[in-house]
Amino acid sequence: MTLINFNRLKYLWEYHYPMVKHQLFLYFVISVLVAILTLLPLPAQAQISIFAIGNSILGYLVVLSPIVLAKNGDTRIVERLIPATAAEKFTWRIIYFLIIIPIFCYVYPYLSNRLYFHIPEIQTALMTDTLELAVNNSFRLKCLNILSTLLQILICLYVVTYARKSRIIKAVLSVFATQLVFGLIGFIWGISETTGLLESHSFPININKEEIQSEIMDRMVSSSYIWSVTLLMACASLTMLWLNYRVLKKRNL
Amino acid sequence: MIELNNLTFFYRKQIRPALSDISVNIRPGIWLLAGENGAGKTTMLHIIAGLCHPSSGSVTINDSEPTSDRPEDLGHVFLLEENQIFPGKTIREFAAMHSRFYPRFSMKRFVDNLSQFGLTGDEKLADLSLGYRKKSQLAYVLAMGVDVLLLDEPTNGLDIEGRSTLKRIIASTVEHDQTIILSTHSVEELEHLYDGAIFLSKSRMIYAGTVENVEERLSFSVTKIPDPAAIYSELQIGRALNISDPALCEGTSPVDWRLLYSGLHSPKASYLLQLLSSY
Repeated sequence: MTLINFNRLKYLWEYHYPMVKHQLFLYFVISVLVAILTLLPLPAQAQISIFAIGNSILGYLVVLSPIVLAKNGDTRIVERLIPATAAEKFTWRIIYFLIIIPIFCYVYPYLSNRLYFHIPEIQTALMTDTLELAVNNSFRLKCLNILSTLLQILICLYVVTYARKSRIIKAVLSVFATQLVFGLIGFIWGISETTGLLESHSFPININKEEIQSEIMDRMVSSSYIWSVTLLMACASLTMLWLNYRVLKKRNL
Repeated sequence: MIELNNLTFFYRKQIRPALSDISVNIRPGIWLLAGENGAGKTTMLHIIAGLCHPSSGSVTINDSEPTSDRPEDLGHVFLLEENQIFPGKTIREFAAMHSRFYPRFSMKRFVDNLSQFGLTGDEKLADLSLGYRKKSQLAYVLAMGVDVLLLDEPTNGLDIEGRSTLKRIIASTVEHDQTIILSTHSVEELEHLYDGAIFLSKSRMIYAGTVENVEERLSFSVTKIPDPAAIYSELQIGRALNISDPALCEGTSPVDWRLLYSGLHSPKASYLLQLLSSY
């Protein structure tokens, strides 16, 4: 028996399309809007604000995208009885939420960010520096960002699939809880690192607050912290991938 | 054929089983599943549909397990629960989305069912009343052509005409190899449709049998006053309903499942069960 039948995968897409078509349209419109706004000749502060807000919105749209499966109410019985293998249902979800949605959200802003460097008329020093940082992030940071997004999507997807009641609220809260957990990890690391640095007197004399902050950030990026958190997120993501498959396989209500 | 063997099911953190040691063979036909609130009817339907795994015992549908992941097995069963939600703006849109998975789905029958219920299929599901939403769902599921169709309280929300239409459609729809199990409190409405019945009480099965089994062993009659020779009688306004030994009763009515259910909850239950399981 083949694990995945592409005809059934096509049927799954046709089954879900009426549910997700509005989401795809909305995400496309927002993505293009953010891309266009980035290329407007605005003051530096406005450009930075648009960049920050736009990317935040897109980030949340991506990680909360699985909520679309819960928008019609509790349709779990119908979905679990669909004559397709768990592998096919799982594959559809992975392709849609981990590939299609991020592409819809990020392609145009990415192109727009690249294009920014070729339009001197709209460039400001602040925005140029910010975009250079964003585009030229280290490999470690890029891995971390991707895994962070992946993990939040998978957690949201799992909650939407598994929860019986208040699926949307629980999914949103679970994403925020995930962000809080990783924020806390960073906070605890930051506190311990700062305490260690201060006690070891390894700062130059007459260093000011901004320089301390910059030193901590540099250490965070270059130290084992990034790799440790990346590894933690990778393990968590693999676990969530398995849990998402398992809940489809078991079909228990 | 649906076979349940020593089926027991516990919900998580519950001490009392939701279903306890159920064994029954359900042959193709239209079956009544009756029981008081909390008897285990919906749980039983969920287990047959593969949406719950038995804690012990087994369930098979045509020798394959309903919890199987194989699309060929999944395609045999469908459950329509009370207040179930179908995604899609209209029932026609849902049918277009969903019916591809069911090769025996008949669009002609679906359209005909809709017409009998007084619907076109283009009505927005969100704008429909409970009754009309139920009608549109029933029109679809009765056209799916699945081997086993499980209906949980299908007449809830339906008006008098809707119930009559449902009875007509079920009677004309079910094929020789199909099984429809209707879980309902409103036994009388579809009474003469049933080929068999399963009665549950407090998670246990108190009776399961076919209409032939009942007709051979019991007689049902309607008289002006309770028949003194009856095993069990129920007095209603202007008449009495009786269950009697067929050897002692002439001229019988068709099987009255509701009366039998009441009798099996009366002090005469053990004697009735003895007769039903004789020879």
